[in-house]
Amino acid sequence: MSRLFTCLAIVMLLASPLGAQQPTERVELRRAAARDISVRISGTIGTLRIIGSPAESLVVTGTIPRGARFDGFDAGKGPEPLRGAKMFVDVPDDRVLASGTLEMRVPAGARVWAKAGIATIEVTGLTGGLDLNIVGGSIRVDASPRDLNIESMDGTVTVNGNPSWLRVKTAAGDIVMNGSSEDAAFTSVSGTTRVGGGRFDRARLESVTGAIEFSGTPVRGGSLTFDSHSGGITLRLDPGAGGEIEATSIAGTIENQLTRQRPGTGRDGRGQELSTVIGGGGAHIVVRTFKGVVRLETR
Amino acid sequence: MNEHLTWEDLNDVVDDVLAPDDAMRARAHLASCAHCSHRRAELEVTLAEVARAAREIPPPAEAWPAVRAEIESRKVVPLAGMPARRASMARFASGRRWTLVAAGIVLVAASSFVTAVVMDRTQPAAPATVAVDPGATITVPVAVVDAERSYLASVQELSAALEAARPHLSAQTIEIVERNLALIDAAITESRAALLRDPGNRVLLEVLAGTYRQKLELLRRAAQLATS
Repeated sequence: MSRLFTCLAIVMLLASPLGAQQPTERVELRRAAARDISVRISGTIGTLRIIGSPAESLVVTGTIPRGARFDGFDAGKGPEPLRGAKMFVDVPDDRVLASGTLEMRVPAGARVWAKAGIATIEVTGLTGGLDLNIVGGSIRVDASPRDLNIESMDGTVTVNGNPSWLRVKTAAGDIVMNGSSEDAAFTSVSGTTRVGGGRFDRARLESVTGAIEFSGTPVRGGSLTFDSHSGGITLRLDPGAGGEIEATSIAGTIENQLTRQRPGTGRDGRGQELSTVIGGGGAHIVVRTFKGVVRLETR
Repeated sequence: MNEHLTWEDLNDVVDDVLAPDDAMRARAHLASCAHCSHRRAELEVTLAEVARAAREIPPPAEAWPAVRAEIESRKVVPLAGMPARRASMARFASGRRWTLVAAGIVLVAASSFVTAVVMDRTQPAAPATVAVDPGATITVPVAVVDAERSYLASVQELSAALEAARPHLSAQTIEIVERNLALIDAAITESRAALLRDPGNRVLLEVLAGTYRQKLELLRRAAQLATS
């Protein structure tokens, strides 16, 4: 383990013609890297672009707020390609806002871990592993990493891709997923969750007050579970999709346009329940909500 | 180096990721500081235990009779009232070490509620007569009462961890967390009241379990935000 760079930031005040932008310093780092390198980056980052590429190198370029410190360490030995790197952007005090933009090019098979406060994180081309954590801002992943784990408090999360294993958790941030997954879970307290486009072997979507919309295709033998307290749950399924659906709204209503079956009154005369089969069966689909409205529609 | 090592430095020492100069200084300090040396030893023990811990522990089938006997032995269980979320979360004396075990707390508590749900589904109902108000009682599965106790204990521990992390969190983060905790608490209160009216409602139980899980997860994530 050695220091990857020591204040490699080249002091370069980027003149701002309007004088409104925060002064920044330039960062540049280029090292040969193993194709499965593990990279960790954290700190006060305005925008972080993570790009998976065929090249076996780690390249970090961009700017950081003036006065901030960009530092890092590697897990390489001598001239061998890096197998691990740890970087962070540190600010001297809270008055330095998260600004600047870092672009990090890594081998496509890399495992990347990034954590920032209020930040915009964009990811493309990565096929390895990805673990992202922000408080606010946004995360957008246009890639299909093998494993994808995202945690956000207030920031919105958008995933366009087909990660095999996917976990997205937000407090208030909205979640949008377009793609497929063998094993996916989406959890939000008050954010809206919209999942669609692809095939799902196992998927769980949970919210407290946030609405849930699903328009994917359940895989035969797979399972889909939807839970909410008061958030509405809307399922839009392909006409040819097969599944056994068990839907319950304890104190709310169920609107079924998928089959002719009408929902019955729930326990103790409250709410509604519905058990119905589409396409001859296949996936096990469970919908549970305390008082949200359940809508079953054709896609 | 006269000041004690920070929690991050201790972790980096254990992970062996410090730069050579920093590592040399840290080792020199550890050699002369009993406090930091003790914390390092504790951390190493914790990490070793975590590494040894099984990822999954299925209950042995032969354990069920004993569990059933224990349940039968205490049919009357006082149901604790929902603790109101304090405007200022609970005090906590120690440092951010809690965040290391926060995920474990969530797993243990979550699995206990799931176990309660599954047991309730697969076994004959084991009712507990619960005191709701003076002079009024209601019957709910005893496994549910135990599971809720477990959850509440975990919530208290994680709330304490969050309080310890509070000085390291931005005002915006705290506002987001508190706003969403309020939503969760309102949902729990509502679901729980409904469960008392309809104790045998398994769907309701699973919805309530999911909401508890959301609370634990949110507390864990908030506490962990302060660690790096």
